Order: sequence, then C-alpha cells, then structure tokens
Amino acid sequence: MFMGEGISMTKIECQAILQCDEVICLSNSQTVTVDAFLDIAGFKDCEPNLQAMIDFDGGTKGYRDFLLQLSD
Amino acid sequence: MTTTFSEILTGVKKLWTVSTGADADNAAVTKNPILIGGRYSTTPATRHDGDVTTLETDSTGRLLTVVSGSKTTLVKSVVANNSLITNVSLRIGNTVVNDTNLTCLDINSYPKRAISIYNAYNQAISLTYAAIRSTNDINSGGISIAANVSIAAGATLYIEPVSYPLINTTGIWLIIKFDQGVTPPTSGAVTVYVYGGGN
Repeated sequence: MFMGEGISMTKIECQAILQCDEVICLSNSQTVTVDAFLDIAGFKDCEPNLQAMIDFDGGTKGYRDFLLQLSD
Repeated sequence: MTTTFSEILTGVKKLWTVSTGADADNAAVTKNPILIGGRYSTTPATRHDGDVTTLETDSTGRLLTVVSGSKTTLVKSVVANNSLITNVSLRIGNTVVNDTNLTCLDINSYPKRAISIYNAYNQAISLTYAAIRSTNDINSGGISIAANVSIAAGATLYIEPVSYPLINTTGIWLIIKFDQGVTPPTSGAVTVYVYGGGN
C-alpha cells in the first residue's frame, strides 16, 4: 500500500474540524465552500485532523496560515 | 364641578372627524388630511405636483414600491485554463492572453464595480495586480486596486469597495494579472467575474 492510499476525509469530518457549515471564511474577502476545499484543493485525500491538513497543504494550496491559526 | 352626559356627548362630537372630500386622495392639499394605510386600485391615477396621495397596494394589500437607480450587471466573465498560468503570467482584460496582445476591459460605463475571482486550480495562485488605467495599454501606469494577494485553491476572492476601496477609482480600462503560486497547478481554471453599475 502506498502512503496515503485509502485515506479520506468526509464532508462531515471536515466541517467538524474547521467548525463551519457550507462555507469557510478565510478572510474578510475570501471564502471557499467545503465541497471545493475537499474536491478542488484535494483535502478529501487527507487524513481528517488539523496537523495532517497543514502537512497536506505543504505551503502550496493557500490554507497553511488559516489552518495554523485554528491549531493555536 | 359635575359633567353632564350631554356635555360628554358634545365633547365626543367635536373629536369625531369624518375624512371626506377631495383631500382624501389625488387632490391638492387644502386641509389636514389624515393618511393611514394604503389603497388598491386597478388603474392608479396620475398625481400632480403638490397632490396628497395614498400609498398604493396590490390586490393582496402588499405595498407597491419602485426600486430606482441603476442595476448592477455582469460586465464580463473570463475563464483562463491551466496551460496559460503554468507558462507565464496570465493577464485578463477583455480576453485572456499570456503575451502583449491584450485588450483591457472597458469599464467606463460602470463607475460602481465589484470583481469576483474563483480559483478552481488545485493550487493557490497569486493575484499579482488588478489595476485601473486611463489608456488601453497593459503596460501603462494606473491605479492599483489590489496587489500580491494569494487566492487559495478552490477559493473565491471578492474585490469590492469595502475591502478594496480603490476599485471605484475613476478610469476606463481594467486589467488583472495572475501568476502561479509556489507550485504550478496541474488542473483547473480561474474564472473572473466583473460586475458594474451606473451612478
């Protein structure tokens, strides 16, 4: 089995971790839907915990600072 | 001092006013009409300057209103695909190009503006700048509305007057430039919606 194979995050798990409903507010002028966060940014293939999501972002998807704030 | 029943009736009579006559609706004010509530009419009359009027309602009693002012319209939506942004900077004006053959977007008729940028790439991208210029030239000077704003993968950035007050700066031409973020995206597209309204 390859690393990460079989790992997935459901919408409900994502909403619980990020404490949101359908939309995640990243700032006053930027939002993302939970569906886009999972499907477009690809976090559906990430383990459902905050540290794994920070690692998955890798500083390339634009969510690192937002996730770090949640982990404080 | 005692008050007789007759005196009470006389007092009530003085308080009781029946609103009748031309002052009630659609006529020049001559007295002090009491206006309460609205009225439904299948063919509302044309009022004239200085007339007293009733509030008009529809057949179910809902008050009729007219929203005035200019409406906001979608001026332009532009979609750029993955191949453009992974090569070089991506410029969006009236179309999408990655070279100098770009026509800026004419926003002269829309002094009130808002821009929505949907990054459907699988990586973050950078809004290098959005600017309003006085000439249709991508390389000319101008007013920078926003610069170096990271847009997360899958996210939408709203450039509106509260967060970006310079968006309603007087000018004719709009140009938006993107660059890839830390990592080039491997799928997706960016869509830019420009909305505008008149004065």
